[in-house]
Amino acid sequence: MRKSKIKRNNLLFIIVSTTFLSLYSLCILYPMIWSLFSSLKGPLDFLYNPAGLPKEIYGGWQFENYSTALRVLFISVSTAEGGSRAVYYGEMLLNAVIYTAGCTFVSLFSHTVTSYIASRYKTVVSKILYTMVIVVMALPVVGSMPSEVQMTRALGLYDNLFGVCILKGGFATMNFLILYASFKAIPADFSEAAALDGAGHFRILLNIMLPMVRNSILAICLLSAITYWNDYTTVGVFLPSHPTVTFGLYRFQYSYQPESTPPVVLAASLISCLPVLLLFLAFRNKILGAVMMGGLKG
Amino acid sequence: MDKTEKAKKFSSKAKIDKAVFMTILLAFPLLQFFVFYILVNFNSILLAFKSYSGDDQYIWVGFDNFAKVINSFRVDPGMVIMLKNSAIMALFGIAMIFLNCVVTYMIFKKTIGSGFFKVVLFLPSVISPIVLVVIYRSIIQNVLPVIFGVPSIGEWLNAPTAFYTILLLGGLFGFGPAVLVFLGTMSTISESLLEYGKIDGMNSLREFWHIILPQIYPTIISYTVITIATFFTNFGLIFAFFDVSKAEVAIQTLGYHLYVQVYASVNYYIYPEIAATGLLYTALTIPVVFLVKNCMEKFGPRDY
Repeated sequence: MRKSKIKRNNLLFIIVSTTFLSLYSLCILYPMIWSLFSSLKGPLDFLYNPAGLPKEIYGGWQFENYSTALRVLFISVSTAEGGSRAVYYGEMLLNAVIYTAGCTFVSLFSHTVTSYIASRYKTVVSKILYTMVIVVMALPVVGSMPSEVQMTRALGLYDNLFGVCILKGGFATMNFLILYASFKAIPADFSEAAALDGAGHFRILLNIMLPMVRNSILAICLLSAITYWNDYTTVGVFLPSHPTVTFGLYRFQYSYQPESTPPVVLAASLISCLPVLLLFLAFRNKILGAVMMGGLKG
Repeated sequence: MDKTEKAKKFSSKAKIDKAVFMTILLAFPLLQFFVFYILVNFNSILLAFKSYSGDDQYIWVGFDNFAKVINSFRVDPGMVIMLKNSAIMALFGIAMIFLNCVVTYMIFKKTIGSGFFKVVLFLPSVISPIVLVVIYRSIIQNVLPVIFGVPSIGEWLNAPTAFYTILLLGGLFGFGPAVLVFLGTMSTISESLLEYGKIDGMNSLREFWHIILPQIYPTIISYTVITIATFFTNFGLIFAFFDVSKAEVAIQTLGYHLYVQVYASVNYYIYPEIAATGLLYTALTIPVVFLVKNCMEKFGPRDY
């Protein structure tokens, strides 16, 4: 009797949880699918038929919205001479690629080398590194952005794509802890055997250690790339003349150009998120695994 | 050279090699940390006591900026509204932590399609908030009124409901990473503990309350601490939903107010006030964070 009651309760749990998760999925997937179909509508179709598929009576499927988005998606930025210039999608895409690749590389380098030293070398420096990370993560610092702007201006890094990559090269984040744990888990036998064979520190790091944590590094690399591609708050403040695709989209939706109809703005949105979406779908297991690993280190 | 001397020479060479290796590797990260954390925060503290006098020059004004900031909460009702909104956002964030635990438990129990749900849950974290805002704004303003036949739904993004609409959307999008982190923690729970619960006749609810929650409690503490630590900086999706500085005061949080001041400031005269504001907020946040952490650790559930 008791067993059947538990079985009934567990069945009820499965029904409730499946229903809840299904409703949540609907809230996420329906807007995505809707935006795909709506990006192929004309402006009148969007206005009078917002919930349905494109209708012939309003012009049917407008695939040219995507080429229009690439053509008209531009924002005005100030120049050093005091004027303004238009930045189009191609330049924004190039800025996004440089910003994403640069910040990901610099950030990953900092995290990797510091976590490696902290985990594999029993020195005072290692203890200091680890403590620094914990202290920085624990202490919430507010309102330092004006000082950051001043510092980047003074160093000539402001409004400079490569300069802002240096700004993002900090190592005191959760990624340090994930890599620290990954390096720490490697048995000492490997590095000792390599040292006996005459391998130096660089050789041990590059030929033995890094290959052994490549899954963690790849996952962090992917997560970082997605974060930097989608970043608009840093770009807005530190790269006013070099907008990326994401920030360009933010400004574009408020630009009120004649051709920036809602379907065209939706098309521009979907174009901008396509690279990270493809990256996520291709490497979803590694990305989800890395995020879950964050829970172990929490 | 005898064996002892050779060993000593080898040992000192090894130490030098190690020192050179560590120096080369750590040069950039430590320099970056020194400049963009130590120097930046030191400069920020100094800036808080200065005032802009023109031509990139600042003069020392003592605690004037702090007095201005504290006074602004007395004379400007907008600041009080922003403080209220920040508090609501933080409380909502803490409530979401518990909901995240429940949802994670559903996936942990291998509900039908849990693999699919994991991917869908994380999807909003992959897509830029700007893209999500463009899509969901259109859905709220154009589609929902037609589907449900209630035109007023389209007004949800106007005051006075805009703040709560944006808050709920932020909760909807923010599920993913938290669920996955909790899932990672739940995956470390010993199978024997769960078996023991089953033998004891625990249903899902009792298993969640008596076994799962205590085991994932450290992660709950981490998330609660992060939510409180971002009390004064969090602005969720507010910036993404509105053109710069066009969000009404009723929708703003203190974090939004701070960010927009830096974003939109062409002149640097306002920087000292922002620095003073940040310093005040930091001084308020740090003790609260440590207090909450200590209380949660002291009064929370023990391991089963």
